Amino acid sequence: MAATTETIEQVKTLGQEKYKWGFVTDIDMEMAPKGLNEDIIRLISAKKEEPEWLLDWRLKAYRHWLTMEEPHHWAKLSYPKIDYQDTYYYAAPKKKDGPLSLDEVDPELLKTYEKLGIPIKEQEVLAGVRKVAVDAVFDSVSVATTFRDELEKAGVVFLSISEAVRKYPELVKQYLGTVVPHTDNYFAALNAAVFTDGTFVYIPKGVRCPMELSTYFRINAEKTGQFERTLIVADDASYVSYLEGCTAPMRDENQLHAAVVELVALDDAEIKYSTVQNWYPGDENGKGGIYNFVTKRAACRGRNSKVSWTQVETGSAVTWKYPSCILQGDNSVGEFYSVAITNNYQQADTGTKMIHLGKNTRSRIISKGISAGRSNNTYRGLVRIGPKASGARNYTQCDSLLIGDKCGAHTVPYIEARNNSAQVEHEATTAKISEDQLFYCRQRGIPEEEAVALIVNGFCREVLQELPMEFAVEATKLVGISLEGSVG
Amino acid sequence: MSAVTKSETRPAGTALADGFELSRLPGAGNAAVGALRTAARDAFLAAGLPGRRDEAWRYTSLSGLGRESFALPDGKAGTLDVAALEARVLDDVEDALRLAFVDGVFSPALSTGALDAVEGVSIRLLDTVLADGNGLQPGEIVTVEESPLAALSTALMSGGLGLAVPAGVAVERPVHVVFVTTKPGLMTSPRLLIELGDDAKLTVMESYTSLTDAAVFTNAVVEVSLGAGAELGHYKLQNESPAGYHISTQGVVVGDNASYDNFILTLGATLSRNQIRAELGTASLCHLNGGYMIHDRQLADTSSFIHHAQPDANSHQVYKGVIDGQAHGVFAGKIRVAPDAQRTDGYQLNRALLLSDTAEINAKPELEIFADDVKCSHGATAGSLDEDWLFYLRSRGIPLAEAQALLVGAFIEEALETVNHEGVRAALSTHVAAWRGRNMPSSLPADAGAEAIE
Repeated sequence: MAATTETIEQVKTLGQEKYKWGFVTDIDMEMAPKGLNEDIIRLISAKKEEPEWLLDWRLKAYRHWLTMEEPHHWAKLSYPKIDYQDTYYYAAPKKKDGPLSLDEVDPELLKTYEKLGIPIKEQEVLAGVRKVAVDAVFDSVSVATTFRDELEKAGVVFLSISEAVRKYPELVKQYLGTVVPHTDNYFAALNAAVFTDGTFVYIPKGVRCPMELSTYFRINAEKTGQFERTLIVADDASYVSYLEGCTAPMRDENQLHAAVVELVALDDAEIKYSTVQNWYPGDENGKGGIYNFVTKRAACRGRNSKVSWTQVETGSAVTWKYPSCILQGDNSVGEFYSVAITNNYQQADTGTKMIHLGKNTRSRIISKGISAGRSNNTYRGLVRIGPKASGARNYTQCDSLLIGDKCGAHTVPYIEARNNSAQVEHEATTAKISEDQLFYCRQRGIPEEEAVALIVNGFCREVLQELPMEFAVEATKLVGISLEGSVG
Repeated sequence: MSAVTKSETRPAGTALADGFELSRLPGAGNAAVGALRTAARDAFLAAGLPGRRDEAWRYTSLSGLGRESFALPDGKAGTLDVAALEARVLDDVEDALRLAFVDGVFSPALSTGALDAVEGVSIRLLDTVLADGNGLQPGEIVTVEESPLAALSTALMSGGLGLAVPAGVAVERPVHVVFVTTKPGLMTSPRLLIELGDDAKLTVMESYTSLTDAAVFTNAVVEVSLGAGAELGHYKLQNESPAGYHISTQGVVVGDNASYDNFILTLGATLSRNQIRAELGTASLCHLNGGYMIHDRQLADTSSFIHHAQPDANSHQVYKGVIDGQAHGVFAGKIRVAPDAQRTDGYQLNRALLLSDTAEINAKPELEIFADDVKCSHGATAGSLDEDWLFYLRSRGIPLAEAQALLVGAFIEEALETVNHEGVRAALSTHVAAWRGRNMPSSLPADAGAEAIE
């Protein structure tokens, strides 16, 4: 019992200083006026020199958004009403237009990313084991994209989405909004109307992307929302591994992050998408923090295509996020690996949807939820087997771990099977760290705190090992910090 | 009738309550009953039938029910084909006292004894319970707010029993309550009130059937209150006619250290729903189990909610379904563990066997946990018969159809094993075998189920 009590105490004492990414960069910003209306959308579109079709699409989305209702009744989340007029929808560091060569990037920004530990100077990366190309998004715009030459040689398109719209309009137009249409849901509609930047990736036929691609999102300015849009298209028989990370300063106010991620995998293509979400979670009294309302969806359109989502969710005051796979192509595979950790007053409602449409489609869901403090952590998922998905197979495992008696852990899976040759299996467990496990470690001389760390790491292992190596290290550290005290 | 006038603006299905005079229903002399009926009818008229946008009814559409119109029982039982009735429900539980209701009216002729035939349990007709207001009263456990359908049932309740066992009395002889509908287009609202004192013990079996090919609607409410240390075995067979609708709303309060063992076998009705809510006391034990076997275009919906409000309780649920033809199985089970309900042990398993490529299952097993020292798990599976098992049997010369029938029998029998009462288990088992005999023709004896697999 002692260990657990201690853990609870330590978790309680977790102060703000633990969020070391909470600083603010003082930099000249160009902001659009506060509020949301068609003029703001036109302004964003103009700033980005967008073609007419994109502005029309944005306006269509905005008009549709006005008719929609914020989805607050079904998720196990509660937060005050968001005033969509009290937010800046466009905030960009002044000067340069879009990402240029690294020498031209504001040194203030480079310093910021250095402080965050994100390598946007290529030489720093070269010192490492593996190369990672980074697209750094600062508030509303992409500020730097590294390793462009090398990627270009391989034929890989890795650009901020604003730039992609200018350089490859046909490619963007062909896929944008085809996985997450502008009418999809409230936050997706909002994003379609006001998205300011994000990343576009296109991997040509038969190409295995020579390095990990990564986008690092940073919210810096006050009262801004971040609405980025990521679109990744993997053409026939290609492969890409993509990582995304995010942080924000500590503030008393809640900031909105409503992103959309669309993945398209064609025949025999594979996309591995990893996220370490570490937005500011608010302080120990639940004040401040990011509202993370994200729509992520993959279309496995081709035969034998595969999409694998891995997420480590430790940040944000409120998380609403369901990375999903539409398994259209025969033999396509969808995977979802998730660790969600909530502490203090954090709320997370996250999970996945696996929609089996094609024959012999397979999906695997491994979700690990850890709740501490007064937080609530919900897994919400859907596995749907369509009438034509003969031979489809799903395996789902959701485990929850509770630390302390003031938190909640919830599991809400939906299973819809309409094909009798399909097999669906779902398992869920909820428990606390058992005294037996602790005792076993302690009698081998492992101190309580380390024992808890060991057990929690073991609990998450199945998911963490799915991350690319660089991220796995960061994620393991994050797990520690998020539950500091319990995992040493 | 004054509450709503314009028909186009009325919530869906409220016409079901039209034209009924509450004052002509049992208990009219008791003002409290009158007030309850009125409040219940108002609640139903305000809400209407739940629609698919209502999360609890996401997979079950009541639009068919809403289009029907039904008559209330007129106090006279229709003529009964006893042979037909026996085929559908009367594989009587051995030694049980059978009490039968026909078209909402108590039928001494079909019953095997008087109300006071079983020593230790007080059995009174609903009319008496409502008239004198003694004992557990309707609405105490399943309130008007529970659901619109329960409210409709409360407004129109007639026919049913109040069963009470005083503290410390263990009743060995089971009570079998049978509800039969014979008249086409009849809506019955039976009510059972079961109240066990501390350490009391009782076994109750309910059977529902209808003997007409026309649409009928059974809208039952069962309220159960168990004192500390009490033990109730509570079982049910639902074998309504293929055009029947069957909705049952059940509320159970399980006292400290008490034990509640429930099993529901669903075979009949075009649309059926068993909705159970159980509130568990400290260190109590609750088993909610069930099996359903459906085909054609039947829909069988099971919705359970177990509330671990107190520490140290143990809940266990196993639901297994066999779905053939274009039938549709629905399961939604929720376990809620309140902040102080430490050392809760909750288990839930839902398994569905899809026998045809047009069968459908929707399952939503849900855990909502606010205490840390708990052990909760759930599992759900859906799929067809295991190819390896079929191969095993066929390699031994058993034809495919028979191998399938054997495996289906074994699948359901496994769920039946959870029934504590031997006589009840045997009775339910006979019905499972009969279903297989009707729907999965095979030359093997119908009861050659589980043994053959082992």
